[in-house]
Amino acid sequence: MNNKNETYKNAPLVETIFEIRFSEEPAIECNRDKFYEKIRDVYSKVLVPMSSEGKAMALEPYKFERNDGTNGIMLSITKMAVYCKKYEGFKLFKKEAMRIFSIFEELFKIQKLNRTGLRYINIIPFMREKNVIPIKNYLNIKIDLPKSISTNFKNLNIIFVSQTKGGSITTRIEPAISHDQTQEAIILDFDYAKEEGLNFGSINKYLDESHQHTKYLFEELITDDYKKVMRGEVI
Amino acid sequence: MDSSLIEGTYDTIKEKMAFIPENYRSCGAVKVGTALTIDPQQIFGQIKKYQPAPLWRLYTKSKRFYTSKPISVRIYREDDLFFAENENLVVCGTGDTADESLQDLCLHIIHFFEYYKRIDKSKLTGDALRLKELYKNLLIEE
Repeated sequence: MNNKNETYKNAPLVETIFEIRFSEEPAIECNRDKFYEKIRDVYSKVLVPMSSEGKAMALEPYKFERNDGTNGIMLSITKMAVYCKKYEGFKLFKKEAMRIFSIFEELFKIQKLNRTGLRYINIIPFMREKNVIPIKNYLNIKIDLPKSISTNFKNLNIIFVSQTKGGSITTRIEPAISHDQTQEAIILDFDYAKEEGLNFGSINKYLDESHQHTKYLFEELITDDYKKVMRGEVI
Repeated sequence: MDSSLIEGTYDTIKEKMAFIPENYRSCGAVKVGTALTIDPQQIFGQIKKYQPAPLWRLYTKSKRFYTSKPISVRIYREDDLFFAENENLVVCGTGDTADESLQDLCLHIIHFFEYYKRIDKSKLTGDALRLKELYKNLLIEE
């Protein structure tokens, strides 16, 4: 099966974030309550940033979260992000993100954007094979090294930034182990960023473009074997 | 060594250094830029119930098998003992480490695979019939 729009039953996605950045807008600091009034029916929980030395409080985002903690909004005077921990497909995520952005647009007249970023964080549980991370079972990654260097990796940490037509995509692959040592996982973190000639009115387009690039990369990077697991074809 | 040669070398280094701007600095580590406050390691640490991980290969000292379908394995810990379990195949391995419990589970799976291969269907009843079907062609020797 090679359906690029397939939605997987056991997708490893744990968090999706779409963030916009803009030049400092003090009106956000003064009108945060007005924004909250318009979203509080859904995002009622308010999480105030902790103050830390050397950091300007206005730059640290407030979080407005659903009571169950599954979705939320981060807002500071230079950025706003919509995040989702219970992803039910891009269409729904986009619909909710655009609803939030339209509320934001009504209150704050931001025209020019400095950056947009769509981030997909995946956590892929794995079992070692003879103490080695069997990366080939999960990811289509081929690392060519001289014969004298073994590619039986006990540990692996990669980050690379690839240029695309309209932006750049950062891919981070790193292992993680649970505190009780029972579970190991590969963290697969994608961040699609756009940084040039951006305006607020085209967010819809940026979001689509970011998603398409990232989804394509994900589909290409995940092996067919692991896609079976994602479809629930396991014993 | 000829001292004029040393002097010459130092002069060359000095000359080359003059071309390097003083404000050079390292690019630093590449970071994911969007929502910097969200740390995947922290998200992983906060997961209360982990997803089972797939198993594609099983080993004993003398044999190697690959599976026709990935076997989903859940590892958990009770006190100092680790358990590796597949509920569908009704098998559980134990050990002092996660890896030991997994190895033990593999031995159980291989044992039952061979057991159900040998035994005739007519001698089985209840859940054993389901298991015989599940174990059928589950492992392929490499």
